[in-house]
Amino acid sequence: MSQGRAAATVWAGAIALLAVVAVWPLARLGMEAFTRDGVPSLGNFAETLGREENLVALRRSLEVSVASTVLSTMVGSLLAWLVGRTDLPWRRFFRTAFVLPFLVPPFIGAIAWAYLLGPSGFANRLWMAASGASEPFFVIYGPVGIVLVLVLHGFPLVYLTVLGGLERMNPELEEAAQIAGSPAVRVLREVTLPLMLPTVLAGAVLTFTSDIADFGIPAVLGFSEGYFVLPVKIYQQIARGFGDPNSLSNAAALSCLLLLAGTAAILFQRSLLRGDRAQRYAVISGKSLQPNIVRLGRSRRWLFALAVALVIVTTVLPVLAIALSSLVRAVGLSPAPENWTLEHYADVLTTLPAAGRGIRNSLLLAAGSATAIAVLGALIAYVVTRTALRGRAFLDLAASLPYAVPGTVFALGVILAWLRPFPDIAFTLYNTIWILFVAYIGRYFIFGVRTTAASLAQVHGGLEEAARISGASWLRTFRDVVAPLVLPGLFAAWFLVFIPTLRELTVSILLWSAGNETIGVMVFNLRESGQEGPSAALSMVMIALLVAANYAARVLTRGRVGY
Amino acid sequence: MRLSARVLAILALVVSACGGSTAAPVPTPLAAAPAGGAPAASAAPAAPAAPVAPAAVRGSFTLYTSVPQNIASRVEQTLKKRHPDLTMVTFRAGTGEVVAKLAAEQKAGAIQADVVWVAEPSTYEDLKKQNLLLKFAPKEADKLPADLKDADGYYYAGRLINTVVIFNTNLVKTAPKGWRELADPAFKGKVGLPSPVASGAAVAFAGALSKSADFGWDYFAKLKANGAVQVQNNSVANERVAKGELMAASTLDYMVRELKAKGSPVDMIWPVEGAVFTPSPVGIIAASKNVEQAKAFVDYLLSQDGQKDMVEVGSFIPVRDDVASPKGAPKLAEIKRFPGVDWKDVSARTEEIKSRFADLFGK
Repeated sequence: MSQGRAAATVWAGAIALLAVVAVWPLARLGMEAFTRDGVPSLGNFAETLGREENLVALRRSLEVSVASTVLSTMVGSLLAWLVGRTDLPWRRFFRTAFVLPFLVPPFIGAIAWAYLLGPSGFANRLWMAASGASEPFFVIYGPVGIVLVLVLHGFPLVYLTVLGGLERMNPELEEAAQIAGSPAVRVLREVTLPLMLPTVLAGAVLTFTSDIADFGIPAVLGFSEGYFVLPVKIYQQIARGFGDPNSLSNAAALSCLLLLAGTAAILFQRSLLRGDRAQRYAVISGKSLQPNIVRLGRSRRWLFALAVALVIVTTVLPVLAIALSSLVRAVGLSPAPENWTLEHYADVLTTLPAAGRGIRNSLLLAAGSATAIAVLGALIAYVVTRTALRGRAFLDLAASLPYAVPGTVFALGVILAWLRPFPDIAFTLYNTIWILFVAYIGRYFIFGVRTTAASLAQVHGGLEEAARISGASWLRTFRDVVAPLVLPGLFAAWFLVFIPTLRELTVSILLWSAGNETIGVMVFNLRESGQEGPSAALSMVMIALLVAANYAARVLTRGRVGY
Repeated sequence: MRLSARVLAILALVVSACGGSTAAPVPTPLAAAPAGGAPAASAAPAAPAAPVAPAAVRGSFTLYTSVPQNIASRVEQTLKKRHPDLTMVTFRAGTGEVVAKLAAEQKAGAIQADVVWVAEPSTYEDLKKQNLLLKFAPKEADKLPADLKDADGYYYAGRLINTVVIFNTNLVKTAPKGWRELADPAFKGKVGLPSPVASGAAVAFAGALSKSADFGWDYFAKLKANGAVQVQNNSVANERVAKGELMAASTLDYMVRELKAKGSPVDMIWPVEGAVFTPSPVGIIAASKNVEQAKAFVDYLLSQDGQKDMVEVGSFIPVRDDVASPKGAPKLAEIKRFPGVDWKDVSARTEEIKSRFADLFGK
């Protein structure tokens, strides 16, 4: 359908912005990968792929990511269904509780789990004392531990995505099944699940690309076992610095492998939603929605117990570990109350000005990028799902690539792209807060696109067509018909971006500068400097901020935004 | 629509409440608004034009350093006390990351650092080879012994760090005597070694021992056979020893003194074969636009006051012999040093050191 000039201008603007923040840094990175000693060459690939350690790391990356994605999707979807569609007791409490692991940076979570399940971790020591065993119950270092902690931090992503989709779903089909006598499980399996497939897949793909590029968890839990994954190898490649003149180019070549894996996943998901299959999944029609509650019956008790156990394991235990870390006077002392002190909190909140700046900067950056991405992402999502623009599939791909690459590598691309964007003009974004802003927008763009696209996919095209036939312009249709229906999706996208940008580390660590610290960078720096207490105290402050932001969002929008 | 209007109003409030940070995309060396009591002084990096009294240097400069975050923050404060009009703006990361940042900046045509202060001299040999360092002579350079400064005048030690053995006092009843014992069955599977990839000091350690005829790479192979594990850096090594996950590790002396003072169940020994004596140099970037300020900082660092501050804020053994060492630490002249350490050689072999270590301990 013809869209008019206003529409075309808006799209062109959005696409141009997408190109600048997401595509250009990666293009610059690609140029780096295919350049060796100043000339175009495949030498970097030959060198990096010729090293067996890199191929092993690639295999390990895939193993760990596939395992954690499968588990995260199962757990996340189940929990979303329990909270969104059943009569599980304490549903409102669980809504927020299941998101809490998402509020803890993976890096911090890995450390917390090492504190609990390291060889002399707190939980292991309890076990050995209680059972008399001389060996720990389970040691978190190594691939199994990595997968477990990835799942613990990845399932909320699937959970949030699927929950959003469930709440937009037309309950009539489920009601019909229940009226016809199907038990809850059958309804779930034969009606809900097939209809939710695009959303579930969207969550799974996001989790996969996130897990395969994760640096923090394998860095903490895999290092001493000699178990390395690709992002860690890339980081090491970069860390060679001056000694190896081709280090950056080799790192860029290596990251292309991750790009390939991420691209494959994205293309797979798109192939499942191609053509009229998207319409078949459209279940938002003109009628009003009353979410249908499935009665759990006999399963209610043990599912409730399971949910409680999950909350304890995924949230209470790690946060407790961090809290204890923040109170213990010195590393290695037992976490008994006699060793507690509040001096780490005093340090972090008063004597360390960088910490206060970090908190402020992070809040600004998170809110700013969330807003920008919600708006831009929605526009791109519309172009991708609703128009017949040639090459629109490429837009989705372009938006998702920055997240598929490890943060370290994307940050390098951003540096190369923005240090001196115009060779003859002394203009730079480097060492300002704007480079962080631009990097965040590029990196998390996909969250805005995917969330809104999933919402849009469930809005039947007929609603728009009705408006257009009645004489409304494209802009008016978008504003009055499409936008209100995807508004919950927009707010979900805002929130889905706010949290990870607030706790972000791997991109910020290469782009921050003095005065432009983020809270994640400060947590990391303090820890790297052996300041475990202050680092844990700042982590607690960050978690408190995220929980408070979540609560504020719910209260201010009367429950429509936030979990 | 009320809902979005409310949300926009909230956002506007949040943004305005958090005001004061950077507004313009034009780069300034200082971008922070004052927070708490910490002053953020002038933003102009101008060199003093009129003749001024020798001590009163004004302006600011940027330091890239691997000195631990809390210590770097305290150096910012002590510098402010001595030079109220001079502001240091710090970027702190591990040696590996600082080097990577410099490499990336250099590739794009503009290094932002004025002063570089990372763990050990081989990095500076690299920087020297690439013509990135400024040749200069600090006022009190003559107070430094010859082995703590570059003969050509490109870098000077600002602090001293020594690789020693840390052990857990609950688990290890009889302290080991030196490096060799770490390969004994008593320490099986419980020794940690910081990896040279991220830690500059670990490069020094592996470089020194691997070259020695008494140790060589065989020593590391023996450690590996005895179950030693690699860890990310010295701080992680210390943490794991303090928690009892490991019994012992190689680490830096000043860190152990700080941990002990706080109450962690750790102690250190100065190995009989020698500690890896590592001057941690500071250098000025040749292309720096704040050379006056950078020189003022180095002058401060090498002065008696500066070294006294280093002893106090970081428990470092001072580089001058007219400043007292921290409590419980030997004087510079008393340290038993591991023999045969040649920084030019370490610099030439850095890649080999990293990859051989990785070959042994996992990659």
